[in-house]
Amino acid sequence: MIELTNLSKSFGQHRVLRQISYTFATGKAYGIVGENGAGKTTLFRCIAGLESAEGGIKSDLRPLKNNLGYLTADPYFLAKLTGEEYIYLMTDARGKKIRNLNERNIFDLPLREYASSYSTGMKKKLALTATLLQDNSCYILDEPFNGIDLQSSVILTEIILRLKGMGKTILISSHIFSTLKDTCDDILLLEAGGISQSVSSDAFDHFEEEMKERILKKDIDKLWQQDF
Amino acid sequence: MVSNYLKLQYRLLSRHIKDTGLPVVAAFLLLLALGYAVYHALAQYPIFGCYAIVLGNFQMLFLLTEKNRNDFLKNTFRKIDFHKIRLWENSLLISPSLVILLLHDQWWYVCLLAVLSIVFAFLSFRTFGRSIPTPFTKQPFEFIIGFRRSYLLLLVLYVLAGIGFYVGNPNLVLFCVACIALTCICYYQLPEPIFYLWNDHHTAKGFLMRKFGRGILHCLLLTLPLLLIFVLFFPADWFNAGIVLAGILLLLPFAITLKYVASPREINFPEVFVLILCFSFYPLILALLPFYYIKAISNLKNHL
Repeated sequence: MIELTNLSKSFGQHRVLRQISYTFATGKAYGIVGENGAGKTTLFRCIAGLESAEGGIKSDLRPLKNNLGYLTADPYFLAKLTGEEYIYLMTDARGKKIRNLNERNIFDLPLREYASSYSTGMKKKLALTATLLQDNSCYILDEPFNGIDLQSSVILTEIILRLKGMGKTILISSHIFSTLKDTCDDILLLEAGGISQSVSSDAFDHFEEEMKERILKKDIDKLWQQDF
Repeated sequence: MVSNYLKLQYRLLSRHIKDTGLPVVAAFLLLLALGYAVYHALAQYPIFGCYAIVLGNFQMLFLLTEKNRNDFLKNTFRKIDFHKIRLWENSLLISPSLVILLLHDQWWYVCLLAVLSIVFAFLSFRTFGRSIPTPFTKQPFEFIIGFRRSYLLLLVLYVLAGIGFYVGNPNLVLFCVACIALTCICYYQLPEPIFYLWNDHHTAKGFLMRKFGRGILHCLLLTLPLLLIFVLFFPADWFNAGIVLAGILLLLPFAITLKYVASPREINFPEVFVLILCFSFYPLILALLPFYYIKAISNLKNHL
C-alpha cells in the first residue's frame, strides 16, 4: 500500500504536482494517464524518493525505496557496460543473486553486448528485466510500452497481470490506452498536476470515449488552414 | 572548417571548467603550475618521468580514437578535414608534454610522442558490439568500464614490468605497479548516476564500505601478483613493495570517498588537488579521510 497525502511539488515558481491525495492498494495495478508535462514522471519520482516533495508518502513497505522497482521512461546506461553486467549491477545492489541469467532472458536480449548500443526498445526491455529480477513488492513502470515491439508488448502485458496475481502493487503510465485497459484495475487522469478523475475497470470504455471526444474538440483543421 | 571545430571544442572545454566553479583563467594557471611541477619532477626522475609522460599521453590519445566519435567526425567533415582535425587534436593534446620533454632535451621521447600522435590520428577502435572481456564481470562497474577504457595502457605496463623483472630493475617494476594502481584510482573519476545510487539497498555507511572492499580487492587483483613476484625476485626491496601496497590501501578508499563527496558531479579540481596532495604524502590521508568520509556519508544519505 502507498498512501499519498497532499503531495505537492514545485520546480522554482512552476508547480508540477498540486495536493495529490490517493491510496494505491496492495495487489492492484493503476494506470496514470495525462498529457505530456502533466506531472506523471514527477509523481513517480516523488513516490520513489528521487525528488523531494511537500506532503506525505506512507507505505507498509519499509523503506519503500528498497521494495520498489522503478522503470524510468528513458533508462540510462553507462558506456562500456554490457546488458549482463547492468543486470548484475542492478540486482546486486538489491542483494539479489541471479543464477541462469541466459534462461531468464525472456526478451532474447544480446546480453554480452554493450547496453548503450541497444536500440530504444531493447534498452527498455533490459531495464525492465533488471527491475523484474530484483523481485520487488511494488513497481513503477514509466511508459513501459514505448518503443517495444508487438511480441514484447504481449509478454509485458502478461508479466503485469502475473505480478498483480502475485500481490504486487503496480503503477503504470502509458499513452497507449488499450494496454492500460488490459492490465489495470483503476486509471487515474492527471491534469495540471492533480488527479482530476479516477476510473475503475467497469467504466474504462466510457472513459476512453470521453477522452477521445475531449481531445478531438481541439480543432485539428487549424493545422492546415491557409496562411493568407 | 577546422578552426571552427577547434573553437567549438575550446568553448566546450571552457563550459566544463566553468561548471566546476573555476574561472577559465584560473584553470589555465593551474595547468601551467602543473606543467611546472611536472618539469621539476622530470628533472628529479628523468627515466620514470619520461615513461609516465609517454604512458599518460598514450592513454589520452587512445581515448580520442573511440570509433563512434571518429565516425561522427567522418560523417560531419570531408575526409581531408577529418584527418586535419584528428592531427590537430592529437598535436594540441601532446603539446604541453612535448614542451616539457624538449626543455629536458629528451629527443627520443619527443619523437616517440610525435609518431604516436600521428599514428593515432589514423586509427579508430571499435567499442560497440561484442564487449571486451574483463576479470570484473559482475562488479563494481567502475572497474568493468575502467578496464575496458585502459586495457592497452595496462598491457603496456605489464610488459614494462616484465622487462623490469628480466633486466633486474626493481624500480621499474614498482613504477609499473604504482601506475597500475593510479590507473585504478582514475576509474573512480566516473560519476555514478543518481538512479544507480537510489537503486542500492544499503545504508550510506554500508554502501561506502562495500565500495572500499570491492575497490581494494579488484585493485589488488591487478597489482598483488606483480608485488608477490617482486618480493620473490628482489627480496631485499620488500619494504618498497610494502610502501606501494600501503599506498594502494590508503589512496584507493580515499579516492572513492572523494568521488562520493563530489557525487552526483564528477571529481573536479578541488578533489583532484587534495588527491595529488595526499599522493605526495600518504600520512595526510589519515588526517583528511575522517573529514571527507563524514562529508561523503552525509551526501550519500540524500540518495540512499
